[in-house]
Amino acid sequence: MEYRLESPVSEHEVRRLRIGDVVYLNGRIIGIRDATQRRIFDEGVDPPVSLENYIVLHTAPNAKKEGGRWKKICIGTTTSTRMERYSPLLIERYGVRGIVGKGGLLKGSLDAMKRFGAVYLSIVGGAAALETTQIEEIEEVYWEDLFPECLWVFRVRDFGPLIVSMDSHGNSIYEKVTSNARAKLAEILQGFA
Amino acid sequence: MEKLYRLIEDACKKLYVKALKEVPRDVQRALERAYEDEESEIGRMVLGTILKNIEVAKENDMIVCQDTGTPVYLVELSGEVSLNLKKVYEAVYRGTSKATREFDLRPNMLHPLTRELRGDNVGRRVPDVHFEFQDDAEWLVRITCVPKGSGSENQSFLRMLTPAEGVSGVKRFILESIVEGASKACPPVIVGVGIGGTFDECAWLAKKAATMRRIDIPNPDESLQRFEDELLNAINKTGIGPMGLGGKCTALAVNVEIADTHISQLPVGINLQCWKGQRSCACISEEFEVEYLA
Repeated sequence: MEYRLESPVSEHEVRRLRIGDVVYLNGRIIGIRDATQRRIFDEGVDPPVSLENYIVLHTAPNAKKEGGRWKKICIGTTTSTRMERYSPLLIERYGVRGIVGKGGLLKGSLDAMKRFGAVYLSIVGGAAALETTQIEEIEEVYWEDLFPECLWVFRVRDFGPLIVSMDSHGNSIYEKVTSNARAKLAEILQGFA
Repeated sequence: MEKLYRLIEDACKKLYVKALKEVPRDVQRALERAYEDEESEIGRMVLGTILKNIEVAKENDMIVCQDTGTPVYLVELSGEVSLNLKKVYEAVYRGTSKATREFDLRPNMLHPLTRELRGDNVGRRVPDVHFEFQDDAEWLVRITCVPKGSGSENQSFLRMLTPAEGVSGVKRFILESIVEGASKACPPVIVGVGIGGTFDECAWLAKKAATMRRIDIPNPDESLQRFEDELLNAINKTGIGPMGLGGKCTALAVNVEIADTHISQLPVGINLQCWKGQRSCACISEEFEVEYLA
């Protein structure tokens, strides 16, 4: 199924999504990364804006401040797995409904997605030029001292394709692909011997 | 000779930006083939988006991926040139810094512990510059630039195998590493493997194999070519697929480089390169003309 969602989204909308579905986003999404989450969770500083019902994007943009406004240069997506430690808390404590990233998250996040109603959306990593054209504007930037790992508010249009790879029903494409690959590996190694 | 250092500086600046904006021709062709061959629906969507992205970057004169990488350079010198390597290093350093500032490239390089950012992608032991030498070259100096993306660099593996583990141990280690790391490295990846040498040498060979070798030219060593083919075939049976979301094409190529090693060692390094295969290359001729390769 293909969906067009407006961020912020409701729990009901997120619960409808199943792995393998394709999503395009409109509205406002929030960019965060390693340093942003170190500040929130390790230093205990609440985010300067509410993240409730928002979709967040794992990013650190190429951007430039000109005349008080932030101008986009190239905005892409980073590997999420590094930030696994923070992700369940992001969902439980701050009410995040979706995480856009690449490479996937792990069991702790999948459990939180099931309990609180959230999804993981895989973007095509490295396809940043396309992604940048789908970001209409950088609306707000908080924690500029962390540049490029600030907290960014983007307005997006037809942002995607995003693949629902972890849903709120306990399913993960990454888990399936990895367990299949492990089984296949055993076969291949036997063939080599 | 002073002119040559200036040419090197200028070439390094251009190469850094060129590697970020363009996809090498051999890699582009391999991606197009992967798109034709892919059987998974999601896999085809991913590869189609990758090809579209390369077009969008070209049309808008943008960098292809946001990760401006760790600047890595290979400077090869022919037997016909005498250069002061300190001055060459300084030229590469200035070229990298200028490219970062003039093109507003994202600054990535920072102090590993304090995480303090310097701002122009140079610093302590950065850029990473390797010198190698080649006899009978048609150029005086050849420079290859690889802005190495971190998504793929984080999926690097090194093991000091024992001679008893042998060739089958090497294959096992490579395949296990792929199953562990490929999905996080923006597949379809180029797999670089360095076998032999020392702890550090096999890592450098893996990096060179993953990032600096064309993927459409067979390995001149036939037995290594067979080894590469066998591994590529095996990796593409794991089903990890484009972006790790399942499919046929997990790797575009496997490149292996070897060095002689100690009687009691069998070091193996594995470095992955993302689908973009970013690299750029320029040759400086005896007449001091600079030619940029596609």
